[in-house]
Amino acid sequence: MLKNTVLDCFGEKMRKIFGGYDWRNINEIRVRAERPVILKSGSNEYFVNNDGQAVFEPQKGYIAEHSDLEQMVNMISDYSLYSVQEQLRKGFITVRGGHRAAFAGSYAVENGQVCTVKNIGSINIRIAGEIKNCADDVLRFFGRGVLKNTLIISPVCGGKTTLLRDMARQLSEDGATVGIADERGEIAACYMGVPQLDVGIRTDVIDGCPKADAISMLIRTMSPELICADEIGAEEDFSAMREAALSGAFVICTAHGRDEEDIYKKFGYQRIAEIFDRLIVLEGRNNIGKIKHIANGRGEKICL
Amino acid sequence: MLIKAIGAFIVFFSCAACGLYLSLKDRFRAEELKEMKRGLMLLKSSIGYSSKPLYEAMIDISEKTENTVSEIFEDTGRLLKARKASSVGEAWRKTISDRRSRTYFTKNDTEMFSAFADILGGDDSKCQIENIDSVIDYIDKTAEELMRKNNKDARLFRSAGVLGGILIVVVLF
Repeated sequence: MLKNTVLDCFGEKMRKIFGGYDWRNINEIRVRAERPVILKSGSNEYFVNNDGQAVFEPQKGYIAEHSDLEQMVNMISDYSLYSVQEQLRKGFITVRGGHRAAFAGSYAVENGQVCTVKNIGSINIRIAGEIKNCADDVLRFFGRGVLKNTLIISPVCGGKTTLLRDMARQLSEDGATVGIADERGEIAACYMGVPQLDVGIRTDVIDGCPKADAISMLIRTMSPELICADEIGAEEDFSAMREAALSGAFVICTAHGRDEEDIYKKFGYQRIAEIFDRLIVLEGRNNIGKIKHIANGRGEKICL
Repeated sequence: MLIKAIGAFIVFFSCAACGLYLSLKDRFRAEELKEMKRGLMLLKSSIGYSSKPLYEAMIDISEKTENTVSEIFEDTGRLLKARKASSVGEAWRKTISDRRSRTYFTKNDTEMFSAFADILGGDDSKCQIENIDSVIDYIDKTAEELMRKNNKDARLFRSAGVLGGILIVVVLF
């Protein structure tokens, strides 16, 4: 399934070359016109030669041609660039399987707004990964099925979204109605409205919509017991979460930051303490997904 | 004598049938063009209002159109769904050339459709709709011209077929 959905992003020539490759440990595929294709697995980089074998020397790697990128754009957009214009304006498209294809090239701007991207020179495919049961420790600590207003804090690439997704999935499986405000499509990775990653059987997803609006819509229309959102930060996000708390729903969100002190500095102590009962701080990039400590909303550590 | 009569009968009906075919050929082409126009109008609304991917729109359209046009939309949609073509233009050209012997489309028509398919799928909805409109314009003009020509020539071809048949029979007898 993973292999097929990744290969679906390539044109025929690249599909033949990469067809025999094992994608399981690959996180990213970087295709740049007239340069070797790079596969990334954690912090390691590989190239693939014309026979589909992994090599470490860039000069032995398969050099992507312009036509390869053109075909990739066709495949990624299902030959229908017009149908993904809105996503393209944000610079990426979510494809079947939940993988994210991001584009770099000449962006056309009209009246100060990005219209489309032309002459695409680079495509980066981030392979969707979900780590099921990674939220076991947190949920065991909270108590099975207990909902709490939670903020997950970590620097970039620390595993926040993966933890949030698994918490949503497990709480949904345990019986809670969950609403996900997935503005950037990173939590559920919806393709044609269907979550490509497992977010639980009682989960409704609004994707591609600004978080604050999505949270309000979820409260009004889907009556969730728990609302999840990724990377909060704007004033309207906090207003929407306050609205959610007033309506009786719980929230689980993520935010970029080193620790709770960093978050208090960015967003204000009062605001965080008022909304959140628990702050989960992750270790970060060097120890992805590992919990550093858990604090209450006031920053008092309750679990090291 | 009986064999001669049967031969004469066959010659006469063949000529009459040729005349009839020539008189109806333009009408069939106009009807096929109109069916293609109907498909393109549906495609226009799928792109403009629901932003459906092409393969999905084309398979839907194949259920709402008839005959060869329906097959062209269906096969192109299926080729795209299976990702067996490098571009929309390639898939479209393949399905039309597979049906060349069964359509009334002329070389001009297929060239126009191919040029249209080369642009199909790329850019934004506005460009796609303009592209479809230009083909619809071509179909309207061609169909109108064909009907005018057909009204003028149809009787001529039918009469020529029948009279030609009689002439051959008379000469051979």
